[in-house]
Amino acid sequence: MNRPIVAVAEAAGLDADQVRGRVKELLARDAEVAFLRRASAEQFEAAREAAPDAVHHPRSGLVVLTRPRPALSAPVAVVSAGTADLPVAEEALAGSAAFGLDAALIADVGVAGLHRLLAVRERLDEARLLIVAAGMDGALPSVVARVTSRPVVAVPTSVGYGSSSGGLAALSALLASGAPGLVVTGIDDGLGAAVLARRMLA
Amino acid sequence: MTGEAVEELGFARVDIGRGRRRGHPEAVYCEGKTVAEVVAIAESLIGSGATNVLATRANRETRDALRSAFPGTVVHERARLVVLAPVAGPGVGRVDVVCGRPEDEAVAEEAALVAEAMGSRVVRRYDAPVHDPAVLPGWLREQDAPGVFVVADGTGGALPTLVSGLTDRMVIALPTSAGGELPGRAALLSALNSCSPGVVVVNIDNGYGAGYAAHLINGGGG
Repeated sequence: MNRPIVAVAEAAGLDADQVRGRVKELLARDAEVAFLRRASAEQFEAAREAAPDAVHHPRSGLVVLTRPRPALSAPVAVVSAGTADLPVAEEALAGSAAFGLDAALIADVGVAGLHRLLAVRERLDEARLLIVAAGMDGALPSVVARVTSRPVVAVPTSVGYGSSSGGLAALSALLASGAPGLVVTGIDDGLGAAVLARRMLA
Repeated sequence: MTGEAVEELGFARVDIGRGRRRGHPEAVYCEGKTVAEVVAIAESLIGSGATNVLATRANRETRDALRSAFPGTVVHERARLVVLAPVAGPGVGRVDVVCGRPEDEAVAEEAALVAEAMGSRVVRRYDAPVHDPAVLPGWLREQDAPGVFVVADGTGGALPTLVSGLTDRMVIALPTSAGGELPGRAALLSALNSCSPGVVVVNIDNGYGAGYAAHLINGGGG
């Protein structure tokens, strides 16, 4: 069997000892990249004892446990609808970068002001894959898929008021989207989109 | 007659005071009622002096019966809407009813006809460029802003939010059940969770409610 692409574990609920044990276990799988997700600052400190190269992305809590991969000429644009979606966008961005993808962030271009998105159309077209994070109505990925010809990975986020139901409204809207060339990940799964980008592009 | 007036029909207590109370008579929601019941309720309303009485979601048999029973009745087949004792409205303000897919037009048309019957001037814009959002700003600017928009969309797509983001007017989102599984649910949730302030929402396929609210917002309330 080929070397695995990714080894990943959730940090939620783990104490320092458990974090160290889990990190050793992840590194032992010898994947291209190993991640610990949603880690607090304390959990990161514990992780670093077992993985000296680890880097923490505090907004999303993503810890990249392995050294950066060689750079690939595979541009990926990570697009966020609102600033509140940035934790999810950061996970997609840092995750893509960990695989060596040439990932760039285009932040805060939600459809409440469509001109913001239209102003960056050229940058969207330059990417080979677009990862678009949006909460609330989940409208942005559908619009992005209509204004570019690139494949779009939509990441619904849990940002929103009551009936957004932790991202279910955005997820439903994206699954029902009529926009062609759009696929959808689970709610808040920025890392899932990054792994998909790696599988498609490298 | 007072605002509390009621006519007892046995199977219905017709709210014939509604016109005095609310400015517009009770509408007859035809689904689940027999043709004879709809005709009797309509007789009661018209007998009380009401004009522009609306019968909504009327099937073909009901529409035909109402047309025969009440001279001057106007029937709108596609919207399944009947206007009884029609009186031409003053055409106040302006309500723009927007959609971009043919399958949303029947519901959009119900909203347009209701706002019109209540007295609003209505502009129908059923060719919104939903497949190319980049040209939406230009398409919207082809006409001046109305008093209020009604935007019908069944895709869970962004049309109500997009329109709201491009104007300073209120948008009533009208989710439709045309297309997809769990018909209309995605569109309803998407509109309820609009990231653009100024979007309010009516229920799935409720063109009547959207048209009514649009007329009130448009200044038709008094």
